[in-house]
Amino acid sequence: MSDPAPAPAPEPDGSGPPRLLERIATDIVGLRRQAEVLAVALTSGRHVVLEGPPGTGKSTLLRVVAEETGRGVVFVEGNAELTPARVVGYHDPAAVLQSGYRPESFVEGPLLTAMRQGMLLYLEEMNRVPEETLNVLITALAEGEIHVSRLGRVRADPGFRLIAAMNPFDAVGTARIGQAIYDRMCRIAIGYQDEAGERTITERVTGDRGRLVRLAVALGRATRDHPEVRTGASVRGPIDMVHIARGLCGLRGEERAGRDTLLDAALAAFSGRIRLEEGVDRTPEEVVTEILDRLLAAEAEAEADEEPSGAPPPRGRGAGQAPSHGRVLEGRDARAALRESGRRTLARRELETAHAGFAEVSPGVGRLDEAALERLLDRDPDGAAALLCDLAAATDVELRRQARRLAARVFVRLGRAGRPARRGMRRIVPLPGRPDGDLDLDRTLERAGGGLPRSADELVLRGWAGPRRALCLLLDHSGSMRGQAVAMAATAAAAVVLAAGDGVDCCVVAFHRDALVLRPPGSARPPGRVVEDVLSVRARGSTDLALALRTAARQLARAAADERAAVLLSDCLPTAGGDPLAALAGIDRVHVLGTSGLDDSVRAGTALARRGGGRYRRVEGVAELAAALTDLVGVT
Amino acid sequence: MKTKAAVCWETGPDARWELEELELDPPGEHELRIRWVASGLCHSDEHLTTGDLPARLPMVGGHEGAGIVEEVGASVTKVRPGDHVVCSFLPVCGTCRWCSTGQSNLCDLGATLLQGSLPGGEFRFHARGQDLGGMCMLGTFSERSVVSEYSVVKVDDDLPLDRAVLVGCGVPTGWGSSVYAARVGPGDTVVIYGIGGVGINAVQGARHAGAANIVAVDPLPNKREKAEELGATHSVATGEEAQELVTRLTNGVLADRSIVTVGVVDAVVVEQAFNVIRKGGSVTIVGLGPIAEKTIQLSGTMLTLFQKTVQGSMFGSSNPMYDIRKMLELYRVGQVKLDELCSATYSLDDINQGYQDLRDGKNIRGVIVYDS
Repeated sequence: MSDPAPAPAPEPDGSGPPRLLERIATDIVGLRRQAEVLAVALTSGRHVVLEGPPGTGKSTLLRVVAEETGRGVVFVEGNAELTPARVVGYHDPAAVLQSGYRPESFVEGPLLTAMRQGMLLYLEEMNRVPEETLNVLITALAEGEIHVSRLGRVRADPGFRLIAAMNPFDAVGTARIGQAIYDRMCRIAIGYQDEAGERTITERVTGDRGRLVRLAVALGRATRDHPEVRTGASVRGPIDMVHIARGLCGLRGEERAGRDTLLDAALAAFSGRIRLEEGVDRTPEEVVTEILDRLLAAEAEAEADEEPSGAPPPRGRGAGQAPSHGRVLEGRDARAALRESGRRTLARRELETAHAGFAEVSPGVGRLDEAALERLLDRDPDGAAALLCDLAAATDVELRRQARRLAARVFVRLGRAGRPARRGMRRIVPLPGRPDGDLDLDRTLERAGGGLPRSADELVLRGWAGPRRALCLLLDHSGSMRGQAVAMAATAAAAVVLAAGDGVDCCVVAFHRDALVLRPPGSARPPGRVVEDVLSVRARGSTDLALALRTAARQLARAAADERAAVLLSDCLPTAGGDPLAALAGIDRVHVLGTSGLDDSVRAGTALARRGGGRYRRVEGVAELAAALTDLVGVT
Repeated sequence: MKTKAAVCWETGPDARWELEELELDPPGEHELRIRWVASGLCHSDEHLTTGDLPARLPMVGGHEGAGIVEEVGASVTKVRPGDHVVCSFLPVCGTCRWCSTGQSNLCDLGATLLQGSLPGGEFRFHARGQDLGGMCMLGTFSERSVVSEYSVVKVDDDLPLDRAVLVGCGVPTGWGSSVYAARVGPGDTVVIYGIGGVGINAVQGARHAGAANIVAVDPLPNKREKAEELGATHSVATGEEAQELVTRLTNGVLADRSIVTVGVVDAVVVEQAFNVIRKGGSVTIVGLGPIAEKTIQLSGTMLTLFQKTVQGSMFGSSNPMYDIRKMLELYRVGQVKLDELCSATYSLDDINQGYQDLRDGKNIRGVIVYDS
């Protein structure tokens, strides 16, 4: 928290924004549109939240806006320790003891200062602030006043504004902002600058220009697009890299930074800044090295071609890229594969021939009668679920959109259907090293050798605990994956992801000859989104069960669990890859939900489940699915 | 009734589309009125303003359109009000010598494409006391047009018209130039010069036809990238690079087919396309250039000795009534990409910006989407 800035300024007049925009044009790179919106929002009395990744110029923008509008700014750094008292203020205990609760004994917090003096309150990292502290802000935002106990009502000067900043992608130590707060603020999203903008910023800050800046900025941007990187570097990365590379060049007497110098600088600047995707085997250093080498190779190639300076042009992909089989796709690659596989769309006439209820559910182009679908669900759950899946692939763009939204709801509901009242399999167990729970007198006495325990270490406490379990759902999408088969997969996915809420770490993998990880363990991807993914998966030719099981083992290995189980929804008739019975390592139990009644299929499924230490169950429709899952693994 | 339209009043290097409110006549006996939903920004309309294509002026631009039929003339039986249609920039009468022999892309009704009048010679747009033609008898840069029933193709009403619009010209022209005109076959090596609204679809066509090597030639990196995304196996910036690459790829045999779809065809690119093909290969020219200029200057002896073919192709030698629907069917099954082609949408008011972006090479295909 900084000291309050001096004297509040009057409400800015009409000349405010234009002057401000002049300053923005000279002081800030890019962000002109956002600055305009911010300036207008402030002059028209709105509160604003700036959302964007770090290093995109939120603070710089705010500082310029605040200076130009002539208002003081009170800064508050948001973190988990920011209590309501630290924002509002508190009665000084010493003063209260001396002279009781009097206004003089109240130590004003930044919120009160900003409100009384009509200043800007700048709250950084809003999503790190505890909810009860944020709730204090609600009345200040909505009514322009707050009530402080024993101090009374404090009205805000008309000039008071709250500007909050947050990085919505930051997942550690952050909380979700409630709708009540969002509803009272305008939101301005700020993204990374374009390449030219980042170069300008880097040049301005480092005073360097040319090759080094170009390489550093390209490297920074490449970290954001790299398939194995979850959070890339902000523009601060390139700035640091330029500084360090220049310094190293001086130290090592290099005219033009060589690969080693560039690599040292790049590792120092980027390896700590980037965050890799879950489960990536490589280290940040390896990723940074790979990107730098790629950039240097492109640079060398461009120089060999005597191309004019500038970013190296993308080169030809080259021949010989045969489609590889047996791939495991995760994260962005899985998303891209889903987008690609979801291409084939169904015309209304096809839908009409395939589903008797189509005309009732979609009476015209772009129309989806939800009530009609609900009625159909009551009458014929499987038919309705199959229709919904096919609607989600309609050529009709509007119908497809509505069907996907509805499907996310319907399948989550179907997936919930089998949930029993009891949750999981909790037992009373000894809780070593935890100070809560009930005393187990017998065992305590036993441990203390019959007498009274002499230290806390000898106390044995017991409490409720569920075994930690991890579950991987394997969805077979080979062959004719249409209508009902998709519906069963979507229901199963919803059911399993819902179980994640009960403390079971769940992941979902769709497979044919490749495996797509739709939801890795520990992911927060909600059931509705996973259902949408399942709906996007299209039929493919061959079935590689062994690959699926190996993928499950690998995913489950990432979860912290005592028991690792896989549930396979498939006809269990592999057409590619090795013997599935030989690919069961790393999975404690493999259960099978058989989708086909053919003798071969039942036999293969039963054998697989038996060898995997699990059970086999045949499912014939969506209505049975959730119950079957509950029966097999007791999770839903 | 009144309609707002973008009109070309005069040609010249600085000529711009002027937005103007026009008077629109009701449809005649074999005509219908369309409310356009979307219109593609094709390079051919740019040729109109520059004067490369000598058309009767003033003219309402636009010949790539998809919309909804609002009113039909007394004798129209092909469509009804409410039907969704994609227009063919080539009318198809179905009875002339060309239509009846399977070359409806050469239908005699095409005679007045650049005059812009309907087949009977009438003009349905009027302003400033003058009759205005519609580009290719359509004039899709207008909120509404009256067009001949020979120009419309009814399509399923669940297709998104702002995507389907692209199959009115660029997609079948490009796709057909590979599949029909150049007769690309499995294992062929094809070189495509110019990756615009037509060239990118020539790439898609060549991929469908099973070409082993598809080399896209374009100076702009974004276009080369798009070409590779949609099926090109290689992309290069210049004709010289293409020559070198193809020589290497084919062990000196050279390419089987080359297709010229550049924005303004000149003698240089035609010669490059001629030099890049093998003995017995063919050059297919789809792009346009200044009409009076001689844009083919080749050694006739080489033509003879290597038995090469140089040919033109109108509408990719496609059959509008059949191929427009076929492209949409291929789109539906995910084999022809339309969503990826449309790189930007504009309102009619921003049409000049759209053409500026086209000149700057920013767009694969810009599309006007009407809000009316």
